Amino acid sequence: MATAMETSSTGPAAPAATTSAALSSLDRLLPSTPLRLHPRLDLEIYASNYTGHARIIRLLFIAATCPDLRVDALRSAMHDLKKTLNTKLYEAVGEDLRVAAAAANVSRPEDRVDSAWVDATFRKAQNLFERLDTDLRGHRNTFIKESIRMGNTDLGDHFYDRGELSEAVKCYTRARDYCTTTKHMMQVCLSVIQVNMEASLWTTVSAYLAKGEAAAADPSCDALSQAKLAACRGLYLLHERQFNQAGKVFVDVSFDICGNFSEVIAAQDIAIFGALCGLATFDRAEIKSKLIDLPNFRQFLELVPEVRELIQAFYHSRYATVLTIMSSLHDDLAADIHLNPHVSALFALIRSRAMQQYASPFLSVDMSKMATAFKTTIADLEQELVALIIAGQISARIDSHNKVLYARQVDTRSATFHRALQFGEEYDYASKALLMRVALLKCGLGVNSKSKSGAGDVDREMHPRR
Amino acid sequence: MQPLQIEQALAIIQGATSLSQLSSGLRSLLDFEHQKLAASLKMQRQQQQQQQRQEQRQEQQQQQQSLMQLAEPSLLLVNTALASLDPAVHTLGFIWLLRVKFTSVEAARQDPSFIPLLHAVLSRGDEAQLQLAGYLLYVICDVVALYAHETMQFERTIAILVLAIQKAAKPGLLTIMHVHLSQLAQLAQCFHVAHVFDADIVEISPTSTSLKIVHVLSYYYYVGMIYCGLKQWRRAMHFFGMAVSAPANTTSLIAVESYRKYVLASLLHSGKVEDLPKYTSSNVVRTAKQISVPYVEFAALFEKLSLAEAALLVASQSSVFLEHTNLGLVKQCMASLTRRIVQRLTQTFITLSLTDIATHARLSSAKEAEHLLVQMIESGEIHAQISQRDGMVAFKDDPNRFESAETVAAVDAKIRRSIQLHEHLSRLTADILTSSSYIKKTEFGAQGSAQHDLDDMEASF
Repeated sequence: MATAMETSSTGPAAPAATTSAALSSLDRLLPSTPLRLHPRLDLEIYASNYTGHARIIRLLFIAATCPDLRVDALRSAMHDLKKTLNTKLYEAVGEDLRVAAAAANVSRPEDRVDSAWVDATFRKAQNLFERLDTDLRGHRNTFIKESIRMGNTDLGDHFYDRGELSEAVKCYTRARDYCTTTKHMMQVCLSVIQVNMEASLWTTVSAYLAKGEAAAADPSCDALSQAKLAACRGLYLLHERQFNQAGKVFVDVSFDICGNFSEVIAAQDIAIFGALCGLATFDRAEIKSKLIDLPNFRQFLELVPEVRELIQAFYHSRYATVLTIMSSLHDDLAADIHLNPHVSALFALIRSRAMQQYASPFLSVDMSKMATAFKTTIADLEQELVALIIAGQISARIDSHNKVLYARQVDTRSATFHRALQFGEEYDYASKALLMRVALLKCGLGVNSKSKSGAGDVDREMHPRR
Repeated sequence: MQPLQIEQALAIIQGATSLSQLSSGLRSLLDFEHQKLAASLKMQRQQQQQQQRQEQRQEQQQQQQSLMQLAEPSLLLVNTALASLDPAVHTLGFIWLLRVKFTSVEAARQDPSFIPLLHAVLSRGDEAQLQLAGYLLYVICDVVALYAHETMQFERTIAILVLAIQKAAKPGLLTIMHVHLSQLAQLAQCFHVAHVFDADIVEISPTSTSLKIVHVLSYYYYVGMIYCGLKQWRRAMHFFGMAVSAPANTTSLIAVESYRKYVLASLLHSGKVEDLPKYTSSNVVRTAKQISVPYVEFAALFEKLSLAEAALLVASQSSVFLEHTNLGLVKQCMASLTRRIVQRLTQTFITLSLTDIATHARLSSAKEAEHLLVQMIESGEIHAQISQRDGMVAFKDDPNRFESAETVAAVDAKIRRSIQLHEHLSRLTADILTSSSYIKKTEFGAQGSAQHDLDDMEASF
């Protein structure tokens, strides 16, 4: 959010730049193309799943991506921001709200920025910072490790509350040097991860995930911290587009996390992320064992019945239902700040998985029936199938004349002959090349420059005659 | 030495029944030549010392002229000798005399009998003696190559070189004759000589063949081009690959040119750029890639079968390809790209209408698609049937079931060849394993460690 700060600080000075498509307080979080999502979610219920920064950021993300909910989301975010010390973001959001409300003609008097609160909070924050700083200096003089650690952590928390993420990370990292127990180590790691995720510094997240996981190997580590760490790992993998790994990690997150990590992720999210990644990349057996049978993950799924239904429909090959649920969920999922960049990729993967699964038991498939099942036209289906066949995901051939998909019967005997002959030829060439190379080396023949020229130089003397 | 002695020497040569007699006769003959030359050189040196330095250059020309004059009578003698020798019987002597007669291109050009004499001795000569003539022939072939370049008489000179390689070169050994032949054949587009290069070369001996690395690299490059001319892409790839992967710590222009052609030949052979051997200098490949960007981009597009983008790239870079004399290959790649797209369709479809094929392969009409399909079916690239009634094409599987006697024989022959190759490699390994330097190194290492172990054991007691 450090960059968001910078943009917002210039925001009020140039209100004309604040267009309805992109909000100045959120530039960094948005995809480059403006989105116009129309999710069906209830903003209040949605927001109630989160606390702290996660709640504010998610509200702002919805404000930026969903025009219908913009004013409400900004109002709600402003309300939440008043509980923090983050005056800069408060002012930036206030400006955005003013513009958005004016555009929608729903301005309310209480929307205005409470400048008295801003001044008071600013002073309060200043005082608090000075107090914490003095405390920390005092602790440093006493050389009591635990006090220094706590002082640093408190200062970090303060910066985080102010929205100064890089400062916060610095304080937390300093606190790490004074950690004496696994618990404290874990606390530091989680804080650093949380702040860095908010700042989208994923390489640091990865480094601290590794540190945290090393600490979690200690038997004294509590289950909740492990679950939190696992959730963060899942988010990291999701961000890195390693959907299969992400799915496996999310599925194994302990249900203890429910309601205890709402400043980063809600239990519903774990259910959704795990289910989507799983459906997109697990094979049939894994879907059964991990998404359906696992008691732990079932608890998560109870929270989002639609996703549970999606998994059931997929597993029982009711593809029309799968597609209906997917299209109805699409905007809701895209409004999620973590899932947004990956929704279309995941949906495409699930769709091709479904096609693969649909075609797998048959020797021949009537494409008109398949098109109905996947709610598409025969021509479009043919194109999708061609792409899948070329990618090697479906082993079949299309009878374009009769619109039938035939499973490919692999002639292993011919294929083996083919491969063997080819391999023999390659062996022949490779051996002869090697023999010749040995001969050249034996005679000491090689392209060796007399002067020591650097890499990338070309010996111009040795050129072929044309 | 007097003319009398020369006649004696000639008599020995003519009457020679054994190789030793023959060579002793020849030696005396050549001794005479050498003495003469040495005497004249001595004279010149004395003259030189008397001259001022500024006049030296002029003087040298005069000396050369006088040398020629001096040599003339001996040339006469050589001619007499040649006339009295029978190339089929006195092959070695005959070649020696040719070597003396044709020391330079000028000499060869002035004498119309140059090529016929060589042809006579190579075609009728005694095989055993020809085998011994190695180095002599290499030197003569240098002259032949220069002669070919100057007179542009490619057909005849190439025939001489082919004969020389077939008769006199040790199978599997790379000689300067191969290098000359590859260059001349490529220049004259005489691709029919490729059969000479079909025999694989696995040996090289720079001391006896006066080869340098530039010769080896250009040999690979030219032979690669010859196979390109014959559209034998796999072999072309092999030769270009050899030029790129030759031991190197700096990049030669030949390697760069070869890399470019390697990329194109590889695309034509398998549709993708095959990996070069692991031992290829990464330095060479990196440099070659850096200065061959259009090729790398073209290959990427080709591998993705993006016909339209590849066509755009070719259009915009055609001057570069033309400058590198690769435009022809690139155009062949474009034609092959269309065919590859059709081939992929056979993997994806069982039936497809001609119009659809035309759309997929970006052909202008169903008629053009039909034409292309007929060509491809005839050449065996695809197996399909076209129904002209409804314009549908039915793709079939490869009918080759590997069941016929011919296939068995072909497979058998390949297996035999592979076994032979393997045996050759095993022999080489055995040679290395039994070589003294290898044994010394490994034995000392083993002894050293054994000694070490013993020490350790003693220490522990």
